[in-house]
Amino acid sequence: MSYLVLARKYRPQLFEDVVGQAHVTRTLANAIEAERVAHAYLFCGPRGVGKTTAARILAKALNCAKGPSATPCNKCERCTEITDGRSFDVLEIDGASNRGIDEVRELRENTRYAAASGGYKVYIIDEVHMLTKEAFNALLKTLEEPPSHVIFVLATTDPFKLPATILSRVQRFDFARIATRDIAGHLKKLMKKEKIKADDDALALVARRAQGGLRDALSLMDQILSASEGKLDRPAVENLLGLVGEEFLFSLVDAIADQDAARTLSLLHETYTQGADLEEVAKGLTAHLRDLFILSVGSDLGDLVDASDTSLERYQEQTAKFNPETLSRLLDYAATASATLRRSENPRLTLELALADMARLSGLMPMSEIVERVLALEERLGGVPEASDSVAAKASPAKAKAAPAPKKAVTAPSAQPVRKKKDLELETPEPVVDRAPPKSVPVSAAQASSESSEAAPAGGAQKLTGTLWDACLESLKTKNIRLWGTLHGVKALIDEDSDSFQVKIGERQNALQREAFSDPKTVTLLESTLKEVGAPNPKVMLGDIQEGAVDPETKSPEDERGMGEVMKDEPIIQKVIDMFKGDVLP
Amino acid sequence: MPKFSEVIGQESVHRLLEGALERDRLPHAYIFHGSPGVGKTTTAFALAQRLNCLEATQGDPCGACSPCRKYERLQHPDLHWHFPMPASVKGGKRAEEIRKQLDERLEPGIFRFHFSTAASIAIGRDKDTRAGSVAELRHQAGMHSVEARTKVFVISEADRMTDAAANSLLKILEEPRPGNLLILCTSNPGALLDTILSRCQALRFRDLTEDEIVALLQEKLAEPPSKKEAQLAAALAQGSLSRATGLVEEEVVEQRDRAVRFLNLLPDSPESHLAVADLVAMKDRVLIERLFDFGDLWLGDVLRVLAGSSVPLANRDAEALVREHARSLTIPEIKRRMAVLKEARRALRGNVYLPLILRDVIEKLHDRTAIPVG
Ligand SMILES: Nc1ncnc2c1ncn2[C@@H]1O[C@H](COP(=O)(O)OP(=O)(O)O)[C@@H](O)[C@H]1O
Ligand SMILES: [Mg+2]
Ligand SMILES: [Zn+2]
Ligand SMILES: [Zn+2]
Repeated sequence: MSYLVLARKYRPQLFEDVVGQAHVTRTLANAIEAERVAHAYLFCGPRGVGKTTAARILAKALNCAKGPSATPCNKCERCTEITDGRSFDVLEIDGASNRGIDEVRELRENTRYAAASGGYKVYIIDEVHMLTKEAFNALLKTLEEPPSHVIFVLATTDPFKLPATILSRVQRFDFARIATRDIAGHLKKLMKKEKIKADDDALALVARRAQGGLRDALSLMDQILSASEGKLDRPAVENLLGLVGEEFLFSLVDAIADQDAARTLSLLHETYTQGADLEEVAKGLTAHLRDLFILSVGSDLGDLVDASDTSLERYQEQTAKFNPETLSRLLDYAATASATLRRSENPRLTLELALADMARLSGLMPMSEIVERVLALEERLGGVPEASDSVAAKASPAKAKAAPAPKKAVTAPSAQPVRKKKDLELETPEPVVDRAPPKSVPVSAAQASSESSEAAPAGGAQKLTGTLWDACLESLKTKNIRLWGTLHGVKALIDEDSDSFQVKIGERQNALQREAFSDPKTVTLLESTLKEVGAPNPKVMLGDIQEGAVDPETKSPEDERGMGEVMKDEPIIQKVIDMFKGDVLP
Repeated sequence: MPKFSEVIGQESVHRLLEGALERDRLPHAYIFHGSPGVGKTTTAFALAQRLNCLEATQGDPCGACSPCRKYERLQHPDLHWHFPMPASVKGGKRAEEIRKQLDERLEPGIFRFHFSTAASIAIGRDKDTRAGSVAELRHQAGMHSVEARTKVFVISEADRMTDAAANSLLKILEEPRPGNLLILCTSNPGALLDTILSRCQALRFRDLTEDEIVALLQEKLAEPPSKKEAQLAAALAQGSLSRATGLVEEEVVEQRDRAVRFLNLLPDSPESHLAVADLVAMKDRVLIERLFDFGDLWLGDVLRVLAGSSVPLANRDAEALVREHARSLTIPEIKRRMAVLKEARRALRGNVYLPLILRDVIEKLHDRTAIPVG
């Protein structure tokens, strides 16, 4: 009895078998060959990427009877002892269950004795982040004056918990998450060894689920193999891991596209009664919409989509059912629902509401279209350009609404076929025209472009900065297309006083965008790109900083409402809505 | 009586376990996750028993052999069960507390174990599922089993382990001695460490369907509820049998009716003052929260009607009234009202002055122009 799980059965015993960490293994191998081994190493990185494995290989490389050699023989007595964990010269200590000062003192005592084999003594302290402060201090003493035959390898997923004094004493190696492609490739090799037939598609799915952890992938594989009959294909994997199937997601999004709320609810009901995990459904839907959104941004972006070549075409067909703006709103809804589901009192209702709302939403007109139609209408009505300004200005949520609006009557020629409702003639709309320029002016990429292509807006500086942001996004396209896809439509809030360029990320940005902004690398990239396109002293700022940028005096309740809500108050928009029997996207 | 066949609705998990046994691919660590009270613990015990039963080759353990009899009384020396316990309870009170906890954990009213406090199992032996108790687990895992082929450790509510306890399990979860099986049960797998998730196979126990819950409630309870009660409890229980069992002990239909009335009170009307006074007098925040839960459920039904959906209503016994309400509501309005209820719940937990919360909800449920909060 006692089956050995794949992760243990296939623990690499040579550096060359460690997948995806060449930057580490090559350096270690070179150091061993050159006999320039450090006294203390720190292996850090996410779970299941080869830290402990590499530590053990290093220990063997140093102690192999035929060594020290970068390629331990794995046959001699010393090698096998280490593999089996019986060696007296290689001690692996679980830092999480021996975290106190006494344990570390004991270890220090132990380091005094020479290695039984006459070679190195290697101490692997795994999960070292769990040591107590006192234990770290005791360890530090040893690291400061290590006996020449002693080598320490500290391994952890959480290097931030180590004191700086320790960090400065060790040679650090950062193990990377393993690329999905590499995981899939590794799985393929192992399945061959296990004599199991599996589709590439199925393995790719497992690899993606593993999120960069090779051990995670192997645990998933074990689970699949314990239940699978016959050949492994994608549906089998979906089924065995209880994933939300691609088929289901296509149907669900079709229903949304058809504005068929009833069908979305039925589909959810069906899959839920069959045992689906609602959180998985929400996550799956979010991922699916993300893929559609990316394709809507550029049909050549298939590489960024988690789809096999065969299904890519289907993704593209489905993408064509929406316009990008709607997709980005839908994605936002799904991401929000997905994020709030766990905290929800009644996750099922939360999800039902989100789906019904999404089905409704996909039937609504996106704002850009409405603005466009309003502008066209104005033109036909013989309105003057300010009117379009007012629309664009009103569309900006951070605008003040205090000052009285200069009157501007829309002169309505009597027989306009487009006007179906009488009251358009009776009630003269009074669009609020922009007043003294507020300190900060938000411009979205989409709006900025619609502004510039239409009548000249007031305030050249605002327009200029809007264009800068656009230019920045444009330039991102070649630098980091994925980021570009994510940031499409993010509003930039420009603080003119400080001449710095702030990117507003507030509640209304979608979850993916918010996430992107929490990555310092993104911030750096944006700042350098802004500089390149000519922004003076660009500063990309996050979070509530934008709250301060908005003058609290002028902050009206409208700021808290969706743009659609704000626009609805605009009489002319209301008219348009009535006319087109539409509604404004919230 | 921990039997697979007693656990309703988890066939796919059981099939997977059976497959693992058949193919000799049983791993050393599982995570059983799913809503509370859907059969995780029972399945864990059944698996432990099955692994050591002298007779069974498939399906349920025999229940008659000597090891089986020990497992059935939770008295097998190689079954270790850890769950969080209030640290404060000591001495004589402890046995009482353990019994109480057991009752709560063993799917009330449905699965019963004979338990003697002299049992040799480690029931939350130290305090909580803190490092101490896990240290006990590690110690036990390092020893030979007393008589079983497979020594089984069950940790309930594993997400409640302290950080230190969870970390100190990593090594055992990765490379235990042969013959050890660890099963971590949780209704919140997302709260487990990545490093733990990476080392285990995570099996999901699905939510029970409303129909399954209704059937179980009516079949197994000593005082079976009416169909109407069972239906409402099932709808509110969201897949959890134990939640539903708790609910049928309350007056669910009455609570629901009260909730519907509440949803439709006119602000500042005499009825609303009366309702607030009544609720305040009850001084029962849990009950008031239940009121909001039923409010949500009702709005959810209205949503289904509005969407033209054929999904069965939770309040199907009051369908006519649901339909009537649907006539005056829109999807955005439902969304807004649910947000109002959510906010009220938060205020309730935040110990905000009760009359204030209630008056505010009544007000906001009606004011369509109000800005939804939260
Ligand atoms: N880079 C890798 N190459 C090959 N196998 C790996 C790699 N990383 C992890 N594994 C697999 O996962 C298991 C656990 O790896 P381990 O080195 O213990 O991870 P950790 O980084 O968490 O210490 C190994 O036994 C092996 O099967
Ligand atoms: Mg490790
Ligand atoms: Zn060797
Ligand atoms: Zn038996």
